[in-house]
Amino acid sequence: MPSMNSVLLISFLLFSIGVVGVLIRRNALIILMCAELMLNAANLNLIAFARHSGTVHGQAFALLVMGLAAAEVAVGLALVVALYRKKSTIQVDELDLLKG
Amino acid sequence: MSHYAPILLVFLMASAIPAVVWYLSRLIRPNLPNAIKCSSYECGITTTTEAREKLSIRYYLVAVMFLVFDVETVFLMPWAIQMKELALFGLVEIGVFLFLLLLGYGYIWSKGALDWE
Amino acid sequence: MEQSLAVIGSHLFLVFGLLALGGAATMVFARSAVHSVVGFLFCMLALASCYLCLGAEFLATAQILVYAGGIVVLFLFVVMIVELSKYKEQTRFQLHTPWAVGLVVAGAAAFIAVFWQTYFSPSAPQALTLDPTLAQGLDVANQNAQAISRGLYADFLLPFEILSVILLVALVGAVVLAKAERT
Repeated sequence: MPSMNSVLLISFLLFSIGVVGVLIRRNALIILMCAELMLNAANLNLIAFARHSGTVHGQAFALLVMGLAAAEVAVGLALVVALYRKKSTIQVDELDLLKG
Repeated sequence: MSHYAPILLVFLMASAIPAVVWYLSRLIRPNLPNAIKCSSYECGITTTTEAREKLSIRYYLVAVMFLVFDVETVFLMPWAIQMKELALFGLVEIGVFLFLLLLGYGYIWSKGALDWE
Repeated sequence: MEQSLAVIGSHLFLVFGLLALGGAATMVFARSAVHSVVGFLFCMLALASCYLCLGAEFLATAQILVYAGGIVVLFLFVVMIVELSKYKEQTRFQLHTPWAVGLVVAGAAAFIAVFWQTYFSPSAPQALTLDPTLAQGLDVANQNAQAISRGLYADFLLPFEILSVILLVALVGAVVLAKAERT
């Protein structure tokens, strides 16, 4: 059985890779993938603590998070597609329609 | 955990065999490249355009529907194996869940997202 | 045999965790979007194995079904729809945004502080354990899915129904957004 610290360290590193990706990449697709990665890091924590507490609620909640992630991806990617048709780009820093 | 050792073993073997075969064939075969051999193979016909053609949006719609109903199936499974214990309460619960997704299904059907033309 | 399996099993989590980190790093730093998606797929599969190592068998299966089977395919379709090859990123990263760098540095500093506190300070808290005896409520050996369904359908009734509404909205929203100007 892995130690709790190693699980927490892995999930922390996954989450920070996700944050770094959201901050430095400019491609909307990859930003969405990074958001998914952060949700997965949270799931890993939920599962580890479910194991620690000996109850199943953490795992059940992780399953709900998974369903939510699927919904998020469906809408997010539809937004990317709609954006691409409107502006012919998915570079987030070229989207300055709201600039005053 | 140890029941999963065979799966890991199969996985490792399945990834090792192609790697070994590929490497062996690289060692044995004569290396005589020419222009025709190096071009990408498309059923023997000369390639005309790039493979990265723009896909139609309909593929995306089909994939979205697949994803949503995939998640629905994942949630149906724990209910199905516990159906007797959950009794009527679980049936009503899953009935509401299925009804809401069926509403979505009816909506996309009426919008014509399922037509391929 | 059993002994050696147990030893391997305790290290397997770390192996799969490092593989997941590698996949995630590929995803963020790859030049082409297709390589990013492949890195994402690899990361999700490695994470499924991590879940398996933590005794969450049903979740590992669901992870493969939902992520590797559904979400990655969706990403690949969108990569093909938006024709990224025509619109190369001139500069891939926006490291020039100072607040982004500042935020990352602050996060790293906070992490190092917490890490230091946990391991090296005199008042270091007791490390949490994942002892196999703790997992009895999960019925890890053979009935993980039953246990999950007890938790999900008995105690998480409201979140479950809300999730079905969210899925409905996502389905409708995706169709409306993607179909907007087809005819």
